[in-house]
Amino acid sequence: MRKLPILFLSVGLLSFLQSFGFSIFGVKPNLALVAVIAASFFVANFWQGLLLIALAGLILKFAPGFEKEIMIFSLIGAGAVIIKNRLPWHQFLSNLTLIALGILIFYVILAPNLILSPIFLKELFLNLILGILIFAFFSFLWQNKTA
Amino acid sequence: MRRYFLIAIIIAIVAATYLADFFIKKERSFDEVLRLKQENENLRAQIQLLKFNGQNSILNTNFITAKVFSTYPFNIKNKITINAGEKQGIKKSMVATVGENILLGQVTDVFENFSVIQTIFDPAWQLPVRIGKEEINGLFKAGNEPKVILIEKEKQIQTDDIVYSASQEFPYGLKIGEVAEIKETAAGVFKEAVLKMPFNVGELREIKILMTN
Repeated sequence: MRKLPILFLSVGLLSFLQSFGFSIFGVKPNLALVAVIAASFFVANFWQGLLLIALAGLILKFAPGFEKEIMIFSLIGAGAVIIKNRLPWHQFLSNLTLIALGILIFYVILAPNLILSPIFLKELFLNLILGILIFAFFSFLWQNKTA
Repeated sequence: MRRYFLIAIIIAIVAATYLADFFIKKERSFDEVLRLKQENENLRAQIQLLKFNGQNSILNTNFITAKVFSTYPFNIKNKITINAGEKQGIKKSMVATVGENILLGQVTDVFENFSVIQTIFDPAWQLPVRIGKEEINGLFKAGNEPKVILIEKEKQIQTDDIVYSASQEFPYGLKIGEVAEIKETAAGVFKEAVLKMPFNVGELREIKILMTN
């Protein structure tokens, strides 16, 4: 099965879902970032990872003009693609670590005042659960064929 | 060759994202049930406000109707993009409402044909408000669980009491929500009220902008 079109479609669909305001108990999970990080473990090279990040960024953009949030999102995604193979743990654990780190960096840069609020913890929790599910889905599709 | 093609696509997408005014509009189809629900909430707000004020200060004001094109995708802010901008006479700081009587937010960015509105659900939003017929003062604090804080403990408020704007930036008496739960502690001189909001940002298809000079 060709990986890139499926990853492209998955990241695209989840990004659209996020940009349509998908929420669980009033909390919007960062579906695009979770999908990009989970997908980064299955792409063949850095450029494919970058393509997924660019796609998610384009879909998430919600108004004309430059958006700092999309830039930070893209940089976090690119960082995850670069360091994912340098982490010493099993890919499943690395995926969760990168998601937690990614969300933390996102809040530290863009909304440090919300880090101590329940919204951050709820979002982190939701993102980790979704990260497990998305990673499990990709692993199921390509068992023992991860890059 | 394939790699260069991939890089070219990435550059094109990045250019569209960061250098162009292009964005994908996520306009949703109109739901008749939701529209009726919002109309109903708006009429309720109008009746409630007429009962309090005897007159509605914004009934004779000009409004422009705009469609909601996109909602902010992260939790850290709560914003929407609408299809009216400079060309349609929108200016920064103009007031946005649902119907004509429910406060939605304020215009923060204006483009040629689009504007961005910060809604009252934005975590950074705070606003002086009044509660019920007695016009009890409080401070509206938005976020995941919108509430009114700094309500004097001895003042009597009840569930279903209407909460409305009392800030200089907005017309007096625009409905924000209704009291759903009152939280009181033995210590301290203030109590707070959790609010029931009359609309959900995700369900909005059309909003109004109050036109001011």
